[in-house]
Amino acid sequence: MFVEGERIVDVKIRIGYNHRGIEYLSQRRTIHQIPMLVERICGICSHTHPLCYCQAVEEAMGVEPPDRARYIRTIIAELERIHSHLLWAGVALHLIGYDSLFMYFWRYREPICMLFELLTGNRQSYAVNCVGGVRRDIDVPRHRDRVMRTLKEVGDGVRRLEGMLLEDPLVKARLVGVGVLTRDDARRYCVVGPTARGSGIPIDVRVCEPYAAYAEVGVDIKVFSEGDVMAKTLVRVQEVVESIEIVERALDAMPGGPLRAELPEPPVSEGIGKTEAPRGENIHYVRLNGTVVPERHKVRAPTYANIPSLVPQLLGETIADAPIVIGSIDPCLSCTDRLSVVDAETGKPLGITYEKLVHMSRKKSRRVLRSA
Amino acid sequence: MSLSPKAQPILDKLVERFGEKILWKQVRSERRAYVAIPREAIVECANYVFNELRGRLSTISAVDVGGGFELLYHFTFDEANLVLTLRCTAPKTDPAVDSITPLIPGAEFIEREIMDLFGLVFRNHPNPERLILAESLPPDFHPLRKDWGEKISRK
Amino acid sequence: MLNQAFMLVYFFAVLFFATNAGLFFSWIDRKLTARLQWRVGPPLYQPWADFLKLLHKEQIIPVGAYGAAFVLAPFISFASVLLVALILPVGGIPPPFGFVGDLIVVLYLLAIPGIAAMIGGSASANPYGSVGASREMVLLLSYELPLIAALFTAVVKTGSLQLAEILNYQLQNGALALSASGFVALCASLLAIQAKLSFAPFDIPDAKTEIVAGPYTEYSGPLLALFKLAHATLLFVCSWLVATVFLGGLVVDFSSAFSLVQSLAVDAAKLLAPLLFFSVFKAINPRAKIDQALKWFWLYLTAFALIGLALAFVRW
Repeated sequence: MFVEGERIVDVKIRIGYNHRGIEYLSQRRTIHQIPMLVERICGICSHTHPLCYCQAVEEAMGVEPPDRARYIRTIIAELERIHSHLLWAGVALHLIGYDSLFMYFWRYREPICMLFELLTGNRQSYAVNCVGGVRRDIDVPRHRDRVMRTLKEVGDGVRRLEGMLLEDPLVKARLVGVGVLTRDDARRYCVVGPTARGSGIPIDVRVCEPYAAYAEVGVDIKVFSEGDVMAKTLVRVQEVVESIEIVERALDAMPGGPLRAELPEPPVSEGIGKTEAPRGENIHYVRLNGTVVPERHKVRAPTYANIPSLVPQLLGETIADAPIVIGSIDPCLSCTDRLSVVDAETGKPLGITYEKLVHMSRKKSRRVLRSA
Repeated sequence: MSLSPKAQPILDKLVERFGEKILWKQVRSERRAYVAIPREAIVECANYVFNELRGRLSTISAVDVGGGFELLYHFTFDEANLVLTLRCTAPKTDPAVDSITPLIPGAEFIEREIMDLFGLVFRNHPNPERLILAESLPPDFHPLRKDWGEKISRK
Repeated sequence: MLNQAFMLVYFFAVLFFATNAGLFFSWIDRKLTARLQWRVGPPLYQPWADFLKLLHKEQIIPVGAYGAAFVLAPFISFASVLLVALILPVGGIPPPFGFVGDLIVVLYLLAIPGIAAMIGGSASANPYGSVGASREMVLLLSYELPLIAALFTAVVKTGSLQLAEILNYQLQNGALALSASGFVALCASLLAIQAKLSFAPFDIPDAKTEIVAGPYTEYSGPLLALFKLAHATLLFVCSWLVATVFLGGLVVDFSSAFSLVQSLAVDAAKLLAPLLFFSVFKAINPRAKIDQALKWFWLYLTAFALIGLALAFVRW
């Protein structure tokens, strides 16, 4: 970022070097191990990547997941969207220095994480997906009340916070008209997700290419045409409310049946999986070569598509606006930096082996224990 | 397999416009179509798909297929629920294609990434710097090439 | 001789009291903010622990920094705040450091912490430091005018430039905040001091999500501890100033044990009232941009403060 005084005059985007070689690793794992690997692309959208991957493999194999699995995938995906958007709202408000609302939004995110723990056993990295279906059932009669109660609490809270956001004059002064991405620029930079919907482009994979159970439960797409940070904020906050309704509908309509489909032998084939991650369209391309190890697995996370669009959004704004404008695309840098870390001199993939990491952790724990 | 009624006209228009250039085409499901074209035609084709048919470039996947590289340009048509994939190949003896970044700014990152990881050259790219590999790495360092692991272990 | 001894005792008493009260006030501020934000908040000893920890940390002076100014800035900041604390009067104790026109000196001294931050930020050879310094300067220029207008309302009402006289006037005629002009001036001065304390929405010079810590980016160890202490003391001193000028001032009544306790309780309430305002106002606002703050201070708050001044001239 180049600035003159407080004004931004030029922007050159460099993404970090924290590449993790996930695509490389994934071409050396079996198709059944990969969901666990891609789950670790991102800690926030840790459902959408395995889901997307599984859909790609299912398409390549010509397998349809059973109905109950599709509903469970939908419920987890929407809960993930709620928690991710609330997380984002908190961070965005922190970026404009509004720490109280930041804490309030995160207060309502916490019950969602508890729900995840109840339904999947983990607060993050839910390990729900597998090729052909899901690994874990949701015990609807047992958990329904708790889930509905939590969702109602969160829904009421978020509606109240939305009102507080809209009425605050200083919030308006910071968000309205800032970091505008015009509809034309949005199309030229091929942006996806809330970034596109904030610029008046009504694209949402859940609606355009209904996967999981979205065709049955229905999705109301939120679009704002202003293109500024406020529009993107409103898209996300309203999507939280929408997602809560989707989970409620899906939970009530959940069919019975098996959790996973029978898989054939891996064919020589290729498939594209697409999901609407909280940050936008996520796309995985998988090519199978007849063995259990894929020939190629390409991951394109939504932030990767959105980052170049920061250039037109940042130009002409001030330093004070830069954090919230960059924040407005909800950048998930772990999704973007997902390639290999390599030692420049030896050319060997740099990395700490599992044993070494365990050893280091144990050493640290002992040190902490001794000093306590 | 045939495409859905909304998606079929898009493929038809492409075939009509570039009929003689299309090497082969394949419809894998009602929302996935693959069209192979020679690499010389990629800019022309991408221009038509992006500007006339109003497709959105989702991403480009590169695959090392042994003797060359295959590039898959995934264009999404959101209203028609179609992913149209243009595919072309470049041999390893001459690993180069024309860049579509001047046409579609959204392709900048992915083309630079492929240049880094596969050593494929995108001609006329406006900003052909390294994107994800460190500047200090040697110029022939392309980790996603199939022979990369062997090359490293030989060293 | 006796007088000098008293001054010495008074100096150390104020040094001890003002710094500790400042740290205590910063704890109240943190705890209150935390409770408003659904958090637990720090324990009572936290500000002292932070201060002592920073004292033990390594002191780093950046290579490109202008060393002398970089080191002196926190001392200047702390010294000026301490001087204000020495000058501010307490009813019932003769003010050993007060003099005619001390209100003007207090105004100048209170501008110095901002200037010290500017010096430190500019001397630290850090781009965030320089951006923070330039923001500090713009902010200083924007809130000084309404602050002066607000404090001069008190001068017009009481007819004196000496803080002790202003206090005495209020002891006889009731707190200035109870009059129309005094109330307007109180509001204006609270908002201007909000910016002086660089609390949200005016935490612009050290906006942590934008420019790391602004002028304080390169500070570490004891120098940072001193800056923090100066800032905590400033919080207390500003509350004290508002209490003195508008809320009837602090009085210690030695006539009986009961009246002593009673007067101290009233004093505490008067000191806590401005703090409460600063904390709550901080918690319910996001950060403004520097151009927005400048415009807001120059157009609206200055006009508001001038209305108060005009009201004082017509004896409202």
